[in-house]
Amino acid sequence: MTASDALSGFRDGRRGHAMLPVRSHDELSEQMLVRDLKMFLSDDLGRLHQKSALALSETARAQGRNDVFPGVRDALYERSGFQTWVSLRREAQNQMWQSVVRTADRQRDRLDSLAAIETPIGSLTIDPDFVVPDYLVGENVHLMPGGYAGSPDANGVLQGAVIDLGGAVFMRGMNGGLLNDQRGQTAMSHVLTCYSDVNPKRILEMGCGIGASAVPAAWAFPEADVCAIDVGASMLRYAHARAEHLGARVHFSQQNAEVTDFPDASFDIVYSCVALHEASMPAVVNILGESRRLLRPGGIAVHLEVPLLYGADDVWAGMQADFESLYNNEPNWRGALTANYDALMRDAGFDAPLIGFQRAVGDARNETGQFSDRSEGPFRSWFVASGRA
Amino acid sequence: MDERQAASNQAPSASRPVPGHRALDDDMLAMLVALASELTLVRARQDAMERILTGVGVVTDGAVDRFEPDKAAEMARATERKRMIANVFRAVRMRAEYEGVQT
Repeated sequence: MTASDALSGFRDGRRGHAMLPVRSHDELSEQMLVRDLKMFLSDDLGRLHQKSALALSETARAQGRNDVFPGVRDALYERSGFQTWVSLRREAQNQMWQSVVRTADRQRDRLDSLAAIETPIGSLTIDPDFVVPDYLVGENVHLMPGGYAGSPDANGVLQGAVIDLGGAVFMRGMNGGLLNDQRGQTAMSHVLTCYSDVNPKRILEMGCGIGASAVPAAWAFPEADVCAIDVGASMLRYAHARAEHLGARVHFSQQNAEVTDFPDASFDIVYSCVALHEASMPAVVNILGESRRLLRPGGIAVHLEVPLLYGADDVWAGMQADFESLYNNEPNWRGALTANYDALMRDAGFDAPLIGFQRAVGDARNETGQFSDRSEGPFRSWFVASGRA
Repeated sequence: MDERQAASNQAPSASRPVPGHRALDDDMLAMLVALASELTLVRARQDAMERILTGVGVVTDGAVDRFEPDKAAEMARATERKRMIANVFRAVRMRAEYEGVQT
């Protein structure tokens, strides 16, 4: 089957690619329902529970308490409506994965044959002896069956297809449509905005997942060699095929971003997109250090995260982090979103790091980039910590 | 008038609690079972309609699966989805609103 054959069956109408599983009428209907339900729960009902949390924290502060979060948290969890809201959010997420898994599963043979690229422009290196980092073992991140590292099919692309389609549903089309590439575009936009003198020959993405953020690097810097690493074999097979079908030259390999096998000073740009909150804080320190080790003198590290960093006094953000950590299996959400990135970057060896928010773009080369100390909100800005070696 | 008692209208018998379950848990599960049953009926009727219409040549086999809503239909469906979510989850919203004014 060719890429165009596969695309002829593509019914979603927005930008996509050949490897994304095709949804039937019923599957698309179900996934749209789950998407709308998730939005209803997080936005409509979330606002009501936020109001509760704020009222509780004002009462606690009026009573002269300093650390109000534990009390507010306990009071909310005692309320039946709040308990139900937490359960429903988790079950909506579970329902999304069940539907996505069914869609991907029935197409696995077709996707595996699409992934058999005869003359690739990029490459794929799987490490049969790869050891999955401890923090990814035993917890399926985002409640996703199989997680990032595991795979129900050791040889195929199924797990990657599940992750890609799940992302397309979860992001509600707001992260660059079905390409889900706004984060990678924004990371490249940050380079072009703040380090316009850089003319990269080699670029590395750490924690590339299904390659959604690696492809924009290959498009923004077509002369550069783009490498991308992550932990899951199925995910990387899918990423490789996906990039090939999009005409992007990327070299994928199965590696731990804390300790890669690349030599010192072998890249001009090393970047990551929302990878840090999927790690652990000790791993974050190692990943930032590794990004510094791999840079040539004058090279740039860019670490992009969700624009939701918060302080200890933000009770509602604390409750959201509580939910993400406990009920959406995001163990490092709180750590990554309360970290002091200026200190972390300096400790990693970056003397004058830039810490702030990069305006989200869909096309790094053709949209004006803007970096500032203020977030315009999710999907309008991304948090960035960057530095020059 | 038929004086016989309908099977569905018997006096309730004692229901032995499952250890660890709240009454609410059992009620919720009972409602889910009923909902799944209702949904199966709706799907069966819809399947019957598709087969009948296919049999008499009103629609071709697989036409529903191939159907792609145009923009207007997509918007109508989105509106209907949101209405249904608001209706089905009304109780959850009301409780959240109620808890919002309890401090």
